[in-house]
Amino acid sequence: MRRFAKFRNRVLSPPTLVLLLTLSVGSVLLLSKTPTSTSSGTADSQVTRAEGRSTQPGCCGDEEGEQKPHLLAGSYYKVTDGFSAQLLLNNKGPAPIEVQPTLFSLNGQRFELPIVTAEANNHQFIDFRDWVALAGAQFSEGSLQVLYRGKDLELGVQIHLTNEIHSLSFEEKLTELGKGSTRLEGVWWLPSPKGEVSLVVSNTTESSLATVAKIQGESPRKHGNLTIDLAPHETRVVDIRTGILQREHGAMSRFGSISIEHNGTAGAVVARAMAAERNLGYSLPVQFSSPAAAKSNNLQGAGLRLADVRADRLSAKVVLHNASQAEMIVTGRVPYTTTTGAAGELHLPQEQLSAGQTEVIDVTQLLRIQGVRRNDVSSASLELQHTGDLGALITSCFSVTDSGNQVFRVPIWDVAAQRSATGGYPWYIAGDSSTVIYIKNVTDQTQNYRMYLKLTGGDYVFPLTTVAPHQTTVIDVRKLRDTQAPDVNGRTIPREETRGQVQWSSTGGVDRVLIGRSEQVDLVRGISSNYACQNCCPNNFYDGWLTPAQSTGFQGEQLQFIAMQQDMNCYGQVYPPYQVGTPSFTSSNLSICNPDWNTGTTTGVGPGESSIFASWTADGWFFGPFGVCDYTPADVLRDALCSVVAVSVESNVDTVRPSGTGGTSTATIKVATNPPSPNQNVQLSLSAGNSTGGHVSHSGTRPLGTLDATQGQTNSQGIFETTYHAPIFGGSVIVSATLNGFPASNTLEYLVVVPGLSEIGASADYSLVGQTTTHPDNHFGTQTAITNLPLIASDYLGQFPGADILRYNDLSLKWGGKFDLSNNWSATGSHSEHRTGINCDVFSGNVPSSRWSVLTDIFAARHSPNFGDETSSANHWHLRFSQ
Amino acid sequence: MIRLALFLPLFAGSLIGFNIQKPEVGGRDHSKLRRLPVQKKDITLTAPKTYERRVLSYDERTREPISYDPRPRVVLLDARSGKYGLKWLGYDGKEKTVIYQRPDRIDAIVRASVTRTPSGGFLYSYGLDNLPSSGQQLSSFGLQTFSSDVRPIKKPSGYVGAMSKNRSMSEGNWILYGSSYFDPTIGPGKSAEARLESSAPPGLVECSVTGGRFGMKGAGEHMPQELENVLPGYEIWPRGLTLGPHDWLKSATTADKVSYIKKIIPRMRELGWLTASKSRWYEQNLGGQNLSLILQRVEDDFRSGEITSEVRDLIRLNLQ
Repeated sequence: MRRFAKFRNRVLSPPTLVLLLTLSVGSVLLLSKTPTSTSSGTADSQVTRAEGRSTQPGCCGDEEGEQKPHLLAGSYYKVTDGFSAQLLLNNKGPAPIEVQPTLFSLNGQRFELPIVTAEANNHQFIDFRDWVALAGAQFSEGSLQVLYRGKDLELGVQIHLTNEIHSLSFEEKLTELGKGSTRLEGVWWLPSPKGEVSLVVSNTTESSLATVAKIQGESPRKHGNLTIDLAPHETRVVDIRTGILQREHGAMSRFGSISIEHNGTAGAVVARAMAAERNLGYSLPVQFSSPAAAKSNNLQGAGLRLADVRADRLSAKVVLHNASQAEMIVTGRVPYTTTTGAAGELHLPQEQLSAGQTEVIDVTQLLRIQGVRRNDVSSASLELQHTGDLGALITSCFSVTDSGNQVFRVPIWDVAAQRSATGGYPWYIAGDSSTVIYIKNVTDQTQNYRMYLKLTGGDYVFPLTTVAPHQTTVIDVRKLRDTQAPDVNGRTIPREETRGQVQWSSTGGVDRVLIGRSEQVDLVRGISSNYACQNCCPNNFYDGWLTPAQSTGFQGEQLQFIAMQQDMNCYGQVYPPYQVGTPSFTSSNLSICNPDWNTGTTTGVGPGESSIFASWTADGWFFGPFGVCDYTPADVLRDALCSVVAVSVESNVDTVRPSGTGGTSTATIKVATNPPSPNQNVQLSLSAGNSTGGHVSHSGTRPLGTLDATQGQTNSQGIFETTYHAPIFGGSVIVSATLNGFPASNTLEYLVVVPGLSEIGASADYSLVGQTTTHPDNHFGTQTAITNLPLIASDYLGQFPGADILRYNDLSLKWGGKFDLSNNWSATGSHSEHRTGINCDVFSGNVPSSRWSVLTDIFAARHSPNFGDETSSANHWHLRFSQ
Repeated sequence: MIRLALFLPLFAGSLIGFNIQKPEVGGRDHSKLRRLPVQKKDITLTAPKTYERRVLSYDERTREPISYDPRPRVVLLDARSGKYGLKWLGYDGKEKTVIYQRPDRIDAIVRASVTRTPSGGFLYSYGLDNLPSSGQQLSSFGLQTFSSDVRPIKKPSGYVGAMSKNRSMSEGNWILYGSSYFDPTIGPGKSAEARLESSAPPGLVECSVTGGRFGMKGAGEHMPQELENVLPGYEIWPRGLTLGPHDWLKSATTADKVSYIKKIIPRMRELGWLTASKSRWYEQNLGGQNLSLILQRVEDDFRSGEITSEVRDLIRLNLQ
């Protein structure tokens, strides 16, 4: 907390000063310490190690930093005649601020109030009645000064003067003393001549001074001057009609200008005016501006309401006053966006204003002429340019309902005179009121901003918002809360949340490109007020990182790395992180982890560890030596660890024998991870390979065998093992594995086959029979079989020259295994043997029975002494060749 | 000498593993000698100790095999005739049986005699005595030869032909006189004869005699692989030694032939082809190169029953 006790002990840290000077010269590289990033690659070869987090910018407080004293003055408060007054304290910094308020009665009597603490990152209202109760009845009306220590604009203070009976509302933002000039200008507008305008002038100094107020009213045209002598801290409230224009019973000019000059020091007098028509509930605060403070002829205002309010038609009006001694030409336009998202622009007629002339433009009427339906406009703004002296155009822009009860004032600002494209506003939802935020792009280029809504339980983070040239975005906080719209992190505003702070900042390196304000609106009570308070500089990079910091995947898996950034405002308030928009990703080893350059989606290529680097440029703003914010972007480089686990499926064998053929029909399957990754979920599955082992176009599904376990976890060595059991049929079988759902880098193809089988060749000595479309390759046998079958045939013909040649029916299929004659993967039926290539059926039907004994002798001589005699049951001999 | 060196180890070790059976009465022409019957290996047929469950079908949904225990076993049905029942549970749940008769339940003697043919060749005659102790009929006679000129004397309806080489019969060229060659059936106590002609002189060769019946009747369903593997191959065929044609003896010198005969005399003694005294005498005289004396004595020794026709013909036809 910043306390007044430190007021006289402020110290500017020399290192801080050095750092500020250094950083303001150019950009700075902000890097994280990355032990693995030195391995290779270009990403880390050009950079210098530095602390990862940005130091808190020393901006906005000049040399005094956060101990800089700020004395703010408000011209007027009142707690009588049906008025209530509240003081709004809006602390945009991360630490509480002690505020010393002082009341001054109308006649300048001083009352030091107890110190008030403005809570960090929030706002609060203080009812003046409590203070008046302390100070005494003579302080029920008067002026106010507050003193705090902190950076420029860190604390925003505003007086809200409200008359609920008449639905009147006037806000006055306190201005810092010592700034301004000796001349103040303002304009008013009234719905009818029955209205009134009260002028308030207040001496903020300890010296007496004289003030001259010049009034030029129009419709009806009246003018008058009044010299007001002000004692130290005295405040005077003057009704313009009676007090200056001297028209006790006449009509009040519906619009006009007020010019105030005084003989005090610059900024010694603060002033405000209040235009009201009580019976309508009409109220319009008149803000005075100092022409001497102007820096450009470009005036803009954000958030011009055009659509009806509770069926009450709105009229948008612009009051223009030439405060110079020369003629000026005013041009303007109203950029707008329709409810369908279309952008449009209404050009205002060129106004030629003579010296001192005041005119009113009815924007609504112009819209109607141009065929634009008011209720189709979702957001609009006002832009004015003028010729002549800087600051010579004094304006007021507002929308007022036909009833006059609801007035929405649009503050018009000199864009070049704005401190920064930032804002920090209170938001609150009380009764029927809500806070509406307007952010306007004042340039011809697209601009971006980030916004945060401070909540009690954490910030609500808006997405990076793009605003088209000259357009305005509108955010209704109540609507956000009531619709439970999620932020970028999926967070919603709790329904019970009623107050907080909204902070925003432009991004992109160009300042003063956006203006913004908040509008507190109570459509039921017909009250609205404005608040606009900028930060001294746009937000800065605070920290960045990649998330996840470490990610492990598998070959082929896509890992997602996201670059995150955290910003802080110029007061050191750190915001929640958000995803960086356009980082560039690379890797220390692309053969391990290969990230997409733009998206960070990283493909696991090969086993090992690699650093993933992301680089991007982040905003950096520092309060420069010339009193402006210098853009010193930060080149950010961050890394994360990417580990790729290779998952392979291995086996002790490539081939297994079909079950039921003897030998080994099982195989050990090993799913291995490299580097070893224990306790990972493994799933195995079998699928048919391309080869069906000699079976073609069978009905049903080919049995593929079984696994002892189709799922499990890798052991401490990162291995999962199970056993594969081959089916009884030949063919190829593919074993696939997934680890945590991601496929292994390879699949395993088992050849379920009886090895060593060859096809018997054709010969004139015998015929090969039994081929079918479903088993076209049916004469595969062992070497013994295919060697001896021709010998048997030739022996037979040698014994019986001219005999009908032997017919050899099925041996085995190409890959062996069960020979399913039924073509449906049946495990039973004939040919239960015929699996290993040692069997062949020799047709007996064309062999005379007188020759059978000779033929079977030949079988015995030719490696098949154990043949089966199935001549009686199936017309063949079933040969069994020796293995 | 090179040929001899190659040949001698062949027959010297060829009966390793066979049970040596006692010599039997050596036929009709000799009473003092007992030829050694063909020898048998001690092969036991037993049920497979390990076997796979038999897949009956595959589950339509899970593709898991639905299997059953086929319970393969081997049952000795008749020890004398060597008949076994190969049994298992079929796919239909019923027991299936295939009858297998092992070929070595025969006791047999092979008698060989060789004579000159008018064309200068040699006629080999084999007397096959199925001894009364046999449990089987004679079903085949296999003969090892080492000659490219082997002409079996065929019969109109019987089969004799070449055998394929196998692990048990890998040397020389084997011929098989099948069961159809011996007609009618040669039961125990009966004899048969097989003959062949060759231009090659006689030397010592292996032979085989089998009994029973080749082949098995089916059971309507093929047997499990493990039972099929139980079936013995040629290794179970009873084996012996006899005379057979050797091409190398045609061009061998007398000295080589003498040396060859001298070296096989102890083996022939073991085969019961000559008495102990004659064994010593022939060894001594062959060493002395007294061929004329040997040729004179060989016929007398045969007639006196002290040597068999195999010894006589081996000496006479190689040294005369």
